[in-house]
Amino acid sequence: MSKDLGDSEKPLTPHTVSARDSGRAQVAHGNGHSAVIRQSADVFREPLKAEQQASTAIRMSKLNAWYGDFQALKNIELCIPEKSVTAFIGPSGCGKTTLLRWINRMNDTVPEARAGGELKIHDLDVLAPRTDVVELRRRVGMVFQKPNPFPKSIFENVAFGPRLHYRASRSELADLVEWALRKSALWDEVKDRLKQSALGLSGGQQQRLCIARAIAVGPEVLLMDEPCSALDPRSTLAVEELISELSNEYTIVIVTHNMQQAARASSTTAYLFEGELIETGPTHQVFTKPSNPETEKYITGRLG
Amino acid sequence: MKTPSSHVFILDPQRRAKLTKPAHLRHHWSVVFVIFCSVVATLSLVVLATLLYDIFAHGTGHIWRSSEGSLGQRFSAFFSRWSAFLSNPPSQSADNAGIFPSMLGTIWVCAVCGLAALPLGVATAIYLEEFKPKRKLLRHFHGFVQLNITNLAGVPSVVYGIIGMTVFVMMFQSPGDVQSPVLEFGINGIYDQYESEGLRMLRVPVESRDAEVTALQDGMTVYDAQGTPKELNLIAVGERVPDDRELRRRTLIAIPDGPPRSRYIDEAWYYVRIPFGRSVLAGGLTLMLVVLPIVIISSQEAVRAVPDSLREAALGMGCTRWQVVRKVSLPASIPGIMTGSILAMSRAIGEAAPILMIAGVVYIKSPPGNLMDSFTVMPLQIYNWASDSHREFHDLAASGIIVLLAILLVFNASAVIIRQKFQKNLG
Ligand SMILES: Nc1ncnc2c1ncn2[C@@H]1O[C@H](COP(=O)(O)OP(=O)(O)OP(=O)(O)O)[C@@H](O)[C@H]1O
Ligand SMILES: [Mg+2]
Repeated sequence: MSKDLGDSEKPLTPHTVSARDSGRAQVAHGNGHSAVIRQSADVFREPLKAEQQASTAIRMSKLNAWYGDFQALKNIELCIPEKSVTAFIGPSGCGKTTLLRWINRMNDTVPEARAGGELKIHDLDVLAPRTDVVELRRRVGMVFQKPNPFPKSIFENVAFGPRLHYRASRSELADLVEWALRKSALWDEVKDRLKQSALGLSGGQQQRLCIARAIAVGPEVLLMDEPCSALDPRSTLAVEELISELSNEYTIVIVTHNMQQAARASSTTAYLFEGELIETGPTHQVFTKPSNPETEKYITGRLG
Repeated sequence: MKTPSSHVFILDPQRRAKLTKPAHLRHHWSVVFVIFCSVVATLSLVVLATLLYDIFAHGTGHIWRSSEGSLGQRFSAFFSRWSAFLSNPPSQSADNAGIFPSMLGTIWVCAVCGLAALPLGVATAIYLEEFKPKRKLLRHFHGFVQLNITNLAGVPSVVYGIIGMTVFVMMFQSPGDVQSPVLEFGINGIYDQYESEGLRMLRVPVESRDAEVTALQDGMTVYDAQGTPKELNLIAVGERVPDDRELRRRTLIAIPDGPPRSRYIDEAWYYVRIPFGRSVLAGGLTLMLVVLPIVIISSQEAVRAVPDSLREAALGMGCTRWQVVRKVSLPASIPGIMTGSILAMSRAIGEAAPILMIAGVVYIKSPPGNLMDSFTVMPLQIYNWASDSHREFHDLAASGIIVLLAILLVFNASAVIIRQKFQKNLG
C-alpha cells in the first residue's frame, strides 16, 4: 500500500500527466490497489486510475487573462486529466471563476476581458479567434453558481440543449430528459410535474435541474462554478454523488470554497492565489502534504 | 489609527437612545401618505367618471330622447339608430349621419401602423439591447442612436405629420402624382365611364390611363358597375329612347363630341402605387413614426429586464446570439413588449393632428378599399362634428367618442388577454 501511495504522491504536474509513457508505466501499479486506497484514505477519492492518468483533457500553458488593465490570471500552467474531477480552490477573488469561464469562452461576453497563451481541449485551440464557440460550448457544459433555469417547463429546460444541437425525435428526447433527470437525482421529485414551470422548484432542485440541463447535451467537459453554494447539506450530498458518478464519463472541473467538498469530490486539486497557480496535484497529496506553505495555510483555514 | 469601539454611537447606549428616531412619527407619516394617495386616486376617478357620464349622457341621450312610443318601441328605435350610426356615412342631416367610413379608416390605419411599428420597433430594441457593439466607434454610434430615439419620443406629433407628408405622401417630390403614378401595381382594368339613359353606369375598357377614348359602336361589349358584360345599344341624337327598362339601361345617345364620361380605374384590393399620395398607407406609416419611439423604448425596457443569468445560461448551452434572443430574451420579454405596444397603439388610435395633415379635410363616403384609398379617421370625424355650428352634431361627436372608446377597450382587452396567456406559459 505504501508503495502505491508513494507512487501517486508524485505531484501531478503537467509533465507527469502529459507524458504518455510515464502514464503507461503507472498502469501496472495503479490497477490492483485502488480499492485499498479508498478504504484507507477515507475522505479522499481514489487517485486517478492509471489509464485515465494517461490522457489530459484540458491543457493550459502560459495562460494569462485580463479585465481591462487588471491581470486576473498569471502564467497558468495546468493540465486537467480526462474523466475525473478537478477542483479549483483559493480565496475569493483569486481568479477561479475567470479561469473556468475561459475554458468555454464564456468571458467573451465581458467586453473588456482578454486572454493570451495556450488553452487546449484535446486538439481544440480554445482561445483561437476562429474557434466556433457554439461547438465549443456544446462540448464544454457549464453550471453556474446561482441556479438559472429558463422560465419554461421542467421538460423544456432539459430539452433545451438537445433541441439546439440534435435532430432527435419526440420519444428520443423524452428518454434523454428522463435519463438526465435521473442522473441528476431529480427524476423522482419531478416526474409528475414535467410540464410545470421550472421556477416553481426549490433552489436545490433548480440547481440539479441546471446540472441535468448541462449533461443532456452530452458534453465532454462539465464546468461547475460553486454548484453547491446555494444548497442544503442533503442536496449538496446529492450533487456530490452525482459528480462522482458523472466523473466516469465526463471531465469535471469544479470551483468550491468548501474544503471538505474539494477533499471528498475531487481527485485533482489546483490552488490559486491572486491569479497565480500555486499548487496542483492529486487531492490527497495537496491536502495532506502540500508542498507550498501558502497552500497549507489556506487549507487549514489560516488564510482567506 | 484605532479608535475605541464606543466611539461608534450604536455601541453607546445613552447616545444611541438619544439619537433613535421616534417610531410613532414614522407611522404618522406613513398614514398621512396613504391618505394622500387615496384622495388623489379618488379625485382622478371622479374626474374620469364625470367625463364618461358627460359623454354617455350626450352620446346616447339624444338618441333615446328622439325615439318615441312605448318602452319597447323606444328601445328598438334606440338600437336601430345606433346601428344606423355605425353603418352610415356622414351626412348633412344629423339624423342620418353615421361613422362607418371613419371607423373603418381608423381600423385600416391602425392596422398598417401596428404591422409596421411592432416589428420595426421590437427589432430596433433588440438590436440596441442585445447586440451592443464592442468597438469604440460603433459604441458611440450606438449611443447616438439611443439618444435620438429618446428625444424623438418627445417630438410633437404634428412634426411627424410634416415628415409623413414629405416622405410618404409626396415621396420627396418624386415624379408623377396620384393621377399618373411613376409605378403602380394591381390594376384590374381602366375604363371610360358613361351614364346610360337608364341611369346606370356603363364602362368601356381602354388601354391605359392616358389612352384615346374608344369610339362607341352599336352592339359593342360594355360592362356595368358589377362587371357584367352588356351589349351596347347606341342611338342617334333625337332617336326615341326605348321604353324597355333593361334595354334603356344599356342605351347611350351618340352625341357628336361623345356623351359625358370620366375615366375610372378599377383597383384590386392589393393596389399599390408610387407615390402613395394621401392614402391609408401614408397615414399608417406616419402614425408608425409617431409611435415608434414609444414602442422602441418600452420594448428596450422589457428586454433589459430579462436577467443576464438567463442569457449566460443560454450561451453556455451553445446558443448563438440570435438563438439567445429567439429562445430566451424575446419570449421572456413579450409581456413587457405587449404592454408598451398597447400604450403605443392606444395613442395611435386617438391621434388626430398628423392624420389631419396626411388625409386633409375631405368628405369620405365609403371606407377604404385598398391601401391607396383616401380615408379619414374617427378623431377627425369627431372633431368635425364637435366644431359644427349645429348643436345636433355635437351629440353625434359624443356618440363617436363612445364608439372610439369601445374600439379602444376591445383592442386593449384582447391585448391584455394575449399577454396573460404568455405570462401563464412562462410561469
Ligand atoms: N467582469 C469583470 N470586470 C473586471 N474585473 C473582474 C471581472 N470579473 C472578475 N474580475 C476581477 O478578477 C479577479 C478574479 O475574479 P474571479 O471572479 O475569477 O474570482 P473568484 O476566484 O471566482 O472569486 P470568488 O471565489 O469570490 O467567486 C477579481 O479581482 C475580480 O475583481
Ligand atoms: Mg467565483
